[in-house]
Amino acid sequence: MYKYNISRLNRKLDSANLFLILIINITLPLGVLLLNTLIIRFQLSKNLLTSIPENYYTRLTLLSLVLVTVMLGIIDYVYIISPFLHLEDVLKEYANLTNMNLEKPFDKHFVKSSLEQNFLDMLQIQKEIDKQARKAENRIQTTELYALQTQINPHFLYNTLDSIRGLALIHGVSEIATMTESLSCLFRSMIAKEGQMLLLRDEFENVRNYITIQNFRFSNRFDYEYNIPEALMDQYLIPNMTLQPIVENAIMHGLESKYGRGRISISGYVTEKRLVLSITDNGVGIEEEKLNYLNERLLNYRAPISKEHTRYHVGIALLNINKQIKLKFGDQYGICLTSTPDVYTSTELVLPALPAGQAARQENIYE
Amino acid sequence: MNKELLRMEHIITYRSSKKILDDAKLNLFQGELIGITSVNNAGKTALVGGIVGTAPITSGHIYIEEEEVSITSIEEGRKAGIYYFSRHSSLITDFTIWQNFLLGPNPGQIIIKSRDSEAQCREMLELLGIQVNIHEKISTLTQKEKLLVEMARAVYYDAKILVMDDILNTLSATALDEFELLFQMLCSLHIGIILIDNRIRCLKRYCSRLFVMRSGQTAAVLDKGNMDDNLITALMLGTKPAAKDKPHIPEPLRHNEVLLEMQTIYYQNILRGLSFQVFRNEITGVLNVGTHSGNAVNHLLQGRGKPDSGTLYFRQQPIVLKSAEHAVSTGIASLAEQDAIFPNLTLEENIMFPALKMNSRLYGILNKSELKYSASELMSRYIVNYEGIYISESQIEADIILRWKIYFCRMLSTSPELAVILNPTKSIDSTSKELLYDDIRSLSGLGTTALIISSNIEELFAVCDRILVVNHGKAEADIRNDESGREELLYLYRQYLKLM
Repeated sequence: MYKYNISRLNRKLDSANLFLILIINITLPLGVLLLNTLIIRFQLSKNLLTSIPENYYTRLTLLSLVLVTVMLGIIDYVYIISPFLHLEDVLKEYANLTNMNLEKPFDKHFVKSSLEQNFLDMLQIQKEIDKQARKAENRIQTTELYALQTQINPHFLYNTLDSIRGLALIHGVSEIATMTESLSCLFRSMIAKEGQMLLLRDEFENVRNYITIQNFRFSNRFDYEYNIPEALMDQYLIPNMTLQPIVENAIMHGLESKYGRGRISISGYVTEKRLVLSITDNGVGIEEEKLNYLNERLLNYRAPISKEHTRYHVGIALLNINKQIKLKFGDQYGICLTSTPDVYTSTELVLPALPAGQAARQENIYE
Repeated sequence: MNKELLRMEHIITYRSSKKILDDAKLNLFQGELIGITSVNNAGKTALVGGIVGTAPITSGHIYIEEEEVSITSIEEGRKAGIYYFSRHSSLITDFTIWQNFLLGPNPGQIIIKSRDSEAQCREMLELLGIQVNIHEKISTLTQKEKLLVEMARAVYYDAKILVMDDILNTLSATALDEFELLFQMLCSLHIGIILIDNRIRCLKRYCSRLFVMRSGQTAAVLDKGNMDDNLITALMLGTKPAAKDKPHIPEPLRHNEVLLEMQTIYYQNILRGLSFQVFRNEITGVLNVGTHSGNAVNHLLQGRGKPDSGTLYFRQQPIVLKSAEHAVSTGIASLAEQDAIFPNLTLEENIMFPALKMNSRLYGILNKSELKYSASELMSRYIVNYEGIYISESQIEADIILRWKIYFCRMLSTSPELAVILNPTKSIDSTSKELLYDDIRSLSGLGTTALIISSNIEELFAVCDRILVVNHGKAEADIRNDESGREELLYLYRQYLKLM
């Protein structure tokens, strides 16, 4: 109990208490001297006619001074010297801790004053800051490394692919040359133009390259056609890599498991406000329940992903494109699906009509 | 760049708690003619009802000329420039053509200058190539002329979109040729036209795009180049395209006694030599390919009409049903969904209403114990979850399943030998349908023969033992409802849809 009380008192060592101790240090000797004087005067008036021993005054004063000195010494020790001694210990402990786990708790009895506690807190904070700074530094280093890699790797990749293409042409293997060229172009668009707005023609080029690659993989099983007025191809913009993942979806989920030839057709039109593209395939289609779930997710794209998501084995490419479009251009745009199992699937992509001439201005508006 | 007159997205429409449209869509460009097709009750009319104002949408977006609008009434639809034409003409038959022309939205027009308006009326009719006297009464005009006058009136009031619902099949082949030119002319005036029909051939002829609907959703949008009959029927039915070879047709099982037989029945130019048999203790379906044959059969069996020729046999005896009462007393009862349910009568009394006469003695004294027994037997079988004695008006209004079950019990209260049910679940939502199918299927176990008349093929598959296909007033196939039979029926149905 005593220890607890002392600890409680010690914890009150702050600027206000220090000021109080200073006042005690000054007033206590003065008070004792004043008390001595009063006692002597009282004794004098009482024993005026009797004799007082000569050393009485000296002894009383000396005794009082000893008492006052001891009292002040105790107070100063408890309130000033002891915390500073502990602070020194804390510093020693901190020195030890720098080589230890910071999460290790301090001894509760060891921390005795708010000064010490504040100092410890400060050390903790400092340590956290150092830790985070080191993490951030690591991250920056990793990012710089990644940035360097993404600068180096694509160029390395393009050059390698070009070399393969050249070699294929030298050896007269035109299929490999074509496939390599398609892959190289697709990578260039995916990496170098990431997040940019492309002309419709460029995005259709991405799709053509992708289908060329897939046709090699699947022995020319897929027919591809598009029905877009030629004039629109160089007039309107579309976010990079918007069509290609939808076509990839059509092949992976619709045509890959279909028996026989598959057909992908893309049609589109432009109105005053909208650019609408429909990607249609004659693949295995989507079951009604899953289709309804997907359309619901596409419409309410902000809703958290439920358990159904894993039940239906729903990919994220389509949902991501839809979310990006809605977040960038508004809720009136996005993706909508229609499907009949074993017959037909169509993905309708609705975008704002962004004429190429106004690209910069529009980008500013939508950013 | 196309000018988009109309765009409907994510349309959901409820009608008395039944979802009739679920994420449907539609769009139309200026000067374009599009078609909407589906099997019956898939939501064609409901979808256009959202813009016409007859079936306001519950949720979704409607854009007219790329501006979002809300249309909740026919008046708002007309203000938006959308005019709807159906089999039932909106012209007043006792008025002249010119007078009908004046009955349009004339905002702020108080005084009408007869001479000017007559001239404009004539001009408009001439523009559309309609050779009629504007002072002629509507009642004297043919169906085609009435339609033309309605269209001319819409154009006169600056229509942007014309919606024609199930109207082409009322026109002759010559009229259809004339309409092709008329549509071209209207499109050149930047008017958009929406044709609703389930006759694929007819639509393919006129439309630049075809919207195929299925179960309240837009199943596909097909361009002119993709309007393949097999693809369209597959999209309408939601199944794979038909195999090229006609499947083998199994003979239906016929081991029971014949209860009802129609022999070469002709009726009001709707039934044209209809012959079929209904066997005792079986549930027989009549797949109504056109929309009217089924109604005509129901009319005859309710005693609401007499056949022009041919014979109706019941229990192998020729019979002519003179009235609904006569039909009930003979042993033929129909599910009457339009009948009233009385909140001041108990549930038992509501059910046994048609059976009062059968259960009364001399001087109209009712055999109450017999009535009570029959009612409680029906209620314990079909209305298990309802515990009240009376039904409040709000309950009658809100609980469509309870209402249906009361009608069903009413039909059975007279202990009929043959129960006739027309479009059993037309107004019922898909989740509740199964409950009602169970009730219908239970009939054969009770010894009641049932005749289900419907244009919904899924409904017939769910409840019937055999299905007759009636097209243009004739029974064209009699198919057992098993796996091979269903395949055959789908094949036939696709052929009908293609030929229509």
